[in-house]
Amino acid sequence: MANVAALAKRVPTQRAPTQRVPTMRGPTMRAPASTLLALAALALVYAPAALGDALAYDRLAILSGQLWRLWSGHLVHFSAQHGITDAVALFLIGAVLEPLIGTRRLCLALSWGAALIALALLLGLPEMAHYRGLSGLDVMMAVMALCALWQQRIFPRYWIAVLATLLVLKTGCEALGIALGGTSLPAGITVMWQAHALGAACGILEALCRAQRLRKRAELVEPLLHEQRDVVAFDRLSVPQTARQASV
Amino acid sequence: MHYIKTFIVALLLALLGGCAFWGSGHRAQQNGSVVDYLYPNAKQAPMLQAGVTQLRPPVRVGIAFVPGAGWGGALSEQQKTQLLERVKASFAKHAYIGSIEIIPSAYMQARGGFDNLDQVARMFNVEVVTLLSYDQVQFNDTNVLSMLYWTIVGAYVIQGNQYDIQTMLDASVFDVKSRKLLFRAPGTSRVAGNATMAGLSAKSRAAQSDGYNQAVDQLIPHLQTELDNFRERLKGDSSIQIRNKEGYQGGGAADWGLLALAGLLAALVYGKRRRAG
Repeated sequence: MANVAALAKRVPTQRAPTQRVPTMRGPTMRAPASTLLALAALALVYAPAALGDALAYDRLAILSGQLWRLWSGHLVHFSAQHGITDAVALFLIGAVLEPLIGTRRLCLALSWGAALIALALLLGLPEMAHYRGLSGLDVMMAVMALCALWQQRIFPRYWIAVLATLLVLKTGCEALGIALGGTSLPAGITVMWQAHALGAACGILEALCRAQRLRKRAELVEPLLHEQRDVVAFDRLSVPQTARQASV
Repeated sequence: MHYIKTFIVALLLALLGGCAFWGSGHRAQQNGSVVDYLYPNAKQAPMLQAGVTQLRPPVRVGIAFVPGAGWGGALSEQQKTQLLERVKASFAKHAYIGSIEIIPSAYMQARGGFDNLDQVARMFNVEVVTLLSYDQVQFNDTNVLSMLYWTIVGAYVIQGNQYDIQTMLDASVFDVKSRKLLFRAPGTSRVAGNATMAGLSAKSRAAQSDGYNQAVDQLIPHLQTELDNFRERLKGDSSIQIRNKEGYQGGGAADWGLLALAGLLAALVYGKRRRAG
């Protein structure tokens, strides 16, 4: 029994994903990591051009060993309008996502998501020499937010489905070259719908990993909880008997 | 005396008849055919090359007049450049078109074929060439007023000559690498007028130039329409692919769609939190 109690202590008590209720108290939507990231992107818009060049995704530079560009390329932009649009989108999506999944998990997801998107662009689009922009991560976070809202049932699921459909349609239109409105990119810069698609894929991958992890935890915790319940029941049954023995 | 009178009348009639003969209708033609230029020794229809044409926007375009026989009288190189500048302006407003180079006639070899086109494309670093072929026919005739030319003064003041100039311009857009005709657009014009015998040459030259200008006026909207049609056709035509240029710059940009989606999501969650709190 002592072993079971120790084991139960080691495994954190975890609610099933569908039962989890996020912190929905109060109108505050604190998102420190997203805010910092958006502010960093905005600051880099007005940073010296040389700094932007040193941080941007540059295929040849990455292949020659400047691996930080895989991450930093997302933070720099081609113009102020480009940077502001991306940063505002990131801030808005982060304000939804970060309170839902936590800062630690968001930072972890963004750290591998940014590198994965850039690596996929490096391997899949050898003709693209330069890349800048946060929107790949914006889409990744939007997908993660939709998945989290879907799992946690905060809204009716058909709302989430509608929003997800809109996101898919938007990316599809970009892939087909159908202009849906003004782009924030300067003339001569191609909109990389592939980065958006990769961001969406990373978002789905993250949500699937999370769901898998939660399921495993639930599977691990469930027998322990059963066992704990059995022990408690046994204790309840055995206590009167022990008391009787003592009285005898 | 009678013989002298008869001789003078006969001489005048002969002179008048000579004027009439000199001023009788004639036809002049200037043309430059894109087929003659690209397929100079073709004895049979050119074979279509199967394959996929790849266009890499922003496309570098060259514009040139097709060299041809009979050219040189109507338009000077300067006038040709002015016409090409106008065609260039109609292309320049599109984002998917990069640089546009005007190729002077001196670089175009008559009956040069695709070999000459390849050379010119390499020389001017263009991927697509717009060839302007032309056909201008001028008819000169005299009207009844030309009878008065025998007065000598009449040759300077009486408009007894008529000219009728019909011009056809055709812009053919070729992908140099695949040698494929991407699209074409025509422009035609007709300029007619009267002139004195002395002023016919200058006036008809100006009218020839005017004919080309009017044909370009008509060509440009047709070219725009064909360009739009070509863009539509690209969506269903598997033989032409749009690829990104080597070393192009890409941007991950959140457009208004993503921004609206993010705003909607944030507003929904904020509203929910307010109600919950």
